[in-house]
Order: sequence, then C-alpha cells, then structure tokens
Amino acid sequence: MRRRSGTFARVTTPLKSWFQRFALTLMILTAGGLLIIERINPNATQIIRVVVVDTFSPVLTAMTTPVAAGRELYNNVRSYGSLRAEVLELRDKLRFTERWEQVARRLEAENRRLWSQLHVTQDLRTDFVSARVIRDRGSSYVQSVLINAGRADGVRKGQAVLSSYSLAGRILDVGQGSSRVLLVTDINSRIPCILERTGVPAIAVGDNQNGVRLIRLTPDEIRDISLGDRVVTSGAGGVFPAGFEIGIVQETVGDQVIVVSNINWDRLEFATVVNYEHPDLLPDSAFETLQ
Amino acid sequence: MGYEFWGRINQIARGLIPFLLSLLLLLVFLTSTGIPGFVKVAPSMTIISVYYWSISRPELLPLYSVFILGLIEDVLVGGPLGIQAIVLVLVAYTVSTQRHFFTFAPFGYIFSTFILVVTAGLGVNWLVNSLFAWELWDFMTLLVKAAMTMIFYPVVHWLLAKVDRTIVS
Repeated sequence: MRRRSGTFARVTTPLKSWFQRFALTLMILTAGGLLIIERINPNATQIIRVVVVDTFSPVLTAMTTPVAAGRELYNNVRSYGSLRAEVLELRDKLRFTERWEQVARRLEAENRRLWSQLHVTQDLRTDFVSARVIRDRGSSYVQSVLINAGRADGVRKGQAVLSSYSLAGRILDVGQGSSRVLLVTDINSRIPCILERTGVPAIAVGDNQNGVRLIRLTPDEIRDISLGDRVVTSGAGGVFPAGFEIGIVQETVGDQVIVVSNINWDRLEFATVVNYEHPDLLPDSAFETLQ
Repeated sequence: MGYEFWGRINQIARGLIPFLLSLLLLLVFLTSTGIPGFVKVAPSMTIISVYYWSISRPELLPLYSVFILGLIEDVLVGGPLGIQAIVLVLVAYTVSTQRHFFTFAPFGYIFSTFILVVTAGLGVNWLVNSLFAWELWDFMTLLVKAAMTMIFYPVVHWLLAKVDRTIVS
C-alpha cells in the first residue's frame, strides 16, 4: 500500500511542480483560447455556459425571492400614499380601454370575415411560458438576463421573449431549468421589423443602452417616419411571430432612427417566453420522426 | 482514524472558505435587485475578494480557483468567456508574488495599492471587451464602477478579515 502511494507520489509530484511553474501561462492561454474559440464559433462554449447557469440558477432564484418580496412590500407601502390619485387614473384608463374594446371587437369581427373571404389560414400556433428574471441585465458590455425557465418548461433556443406586451429579446442559451435571454437592446441583437404605419421593413439593432436603432432604411423611408410610429416584428425569417411591439420611434437624427421600448429595463421582473411554430416550417418532432 | 478524518474534513472546509465566500459575494451582487442602473456600476466583488485573499492567504485561494471563479463570473454576467478569468488570474498572481510588501503594511498602503489594482483590472476588462466587440465602450461607466469598487473595499476588507481570523482560530 505504502509502495503504491509512493509510486503515485513519484508520478504526481513532478507533474504538480510543472503545473505550478506554468500555471499562469496555462491559464492565460486557456482563457485566451476560450475567447478565440467563442469568437469563431459561439456554440462551441455553450455547454460550459449551460452547465454553469443551470448550477447557479436555483441559488439565484432563492436569492431573488426575498429581494422581490422586499421590493413588493416597499411598492405597496409607497402606493398607499397615492391611492386616490391612482384610482382616478385607473378609472380614466378603464373608460379609455372600454372605448377601445368596442373598436377592437368590431375590427376582430371584420377581420375574421375578411380572413374567411380570402381563405387564408391563421399562421400562429403559440403558447407561453412565464418565468422570473433571476439575474439583471449583464454589465456595461452585455445586455442579457437569466430567467428560471428552461428546456424542462418547453423553452427552446431562438424563441421570442416578451415583457409588458413588448418584445424583450430572444432565448440565447437553454439549460434544464434556466435560460439566458439576449435583450433587443444588446448590440448583437438583430430583429426583422416593420414600421406599422407605413409597412416599411427594417432591422432593429440594440444600442447597448436602453434603446434600439433601425437600420436598412433609405433616406426617403427615414423622411416618411413620424415620431411615435410603432415598430413591430415583421415575422420575416419565421423566428418571431409578426406583430409584437418592439417600441415607438422617439427621434430621428440624420440616418439614425431611435426607438424606445415601453419595457422598464431596470425593473424587469418577469418575462414570457413565446413558443411559436411557423406552419411552413417543420416542427422539431417532425425532424425526429424523419431521422 | 476518527480524529484524523475529521481533521482532514476541517482542513478541506477551511480551504474552501475563501473560494465559497468569493462566490457568495459575486452571487449577491449579481442577484436581480431592480435598482435602476445598479448592475452596470455594481462593484467588482471578485476583484476585492481575490485581492484580499492573495495578500492574506494565497495558499487558500490558488490560481486555479481564481480562474474558475473568473469563468463563473463571465458566464453569469453573460460576457465573452475568459475575460474576467484573465483579469482575476493576473490580479492574484501579481499581488501574491509581491506579498512581502504587504506584510505588516498599514491599511492605507493596502488600500492605495488596491486603487491601482482595480483600475488596472477593470481597464484590462474594458480593453478586451472593446477589442472583442470592436467598439469602444462607455468609459464613464467604467470609472463609476471602479469608484464603486473602491468605496466598497473597506467594508468587504473588514468582513473578510473577520472570516480570516475565524479560520486561524
């Protein structure tokens, strides 16, 4: 037994001292290698990300719960002071919404009639998964959040994520019980969209702050834009359903069209993942059957 | 046997404290707080922790632990994998090899060196991130983050020193 451990030590001791001597170089090279590999193929390091996020998401969820409870308590206490003003505001909103409900019902009926006349099939097969945001937007360099819903809840890579009825982003990495959402405000986010009023297509690109810029617009198309125009997803590419609001045009400066979302990015508590299947694209189960 | 076994367990547990504590500090400051804009300028807890343990007990937070801590931070923050690992490993190596300068040094000396270390560390992070995205990131946010880290340092130093004394006793 002693001889075995002696042999083991004879093998491991030089290895250990070699590792200690070159530890710094090895680690810098490994980290540099990871950076380069990820730059070339972002999917190559996905397994590390998924494992780490899945490991820590229960801890982050547990830590978020008391913070969320404290925040709710604070908001409740604060709202008591302005209850009357809020009730009046809500009554006004209710009256306004009731008027819109009438309009919406009439338009829905008219829309259904027109759809049936044109013999067009509905293209949406969607269901939703709600999740809590367990990690705020990354750092100054990244605009992403972690949510506590993953593969086990039916979340898949690329799905759209909503908050406050607006598009918040898309699923980037999926773990078993958690996922990372790349927000529309991230500089790497590219969403095919249209300006709802004019129907002009564009691409919404994040500015890594709180906004989104529109690109791929001609000077004439930019001139036609009015402040307050709604920008919605176009559904091009079949990744996102059409018609989800991205934001409204806040200003145009030269060839820059700045769009702001109605999502409060600093108070993103819950998110809804949209499970969407385009009818023209085969579902995953079909691919499995084919294989 | 029993005494030896528990002694070994005790030793392992003590050895894990600096790593687990650094991880805990990281997770606390990563938790969704809902404070507007806080996450961008949140202090870099891992730099504080790695700096402290590299001076006080580098043997309890070896380079490979620091490297893993950096990778975990990179993943949880959602940034390019490896940036914070490089920064933390460089901080740990630089500080632990110059450790003799900090022996019996007053807090003012340790704190002034920390200002240099945190500026350099966050600077490297900013630079690599800028190179990675091929775009110069907001420099002001970086300065505010560095200032926040410096403001938090004395409190966290005090806290870690308390734990450090517990490990000894």
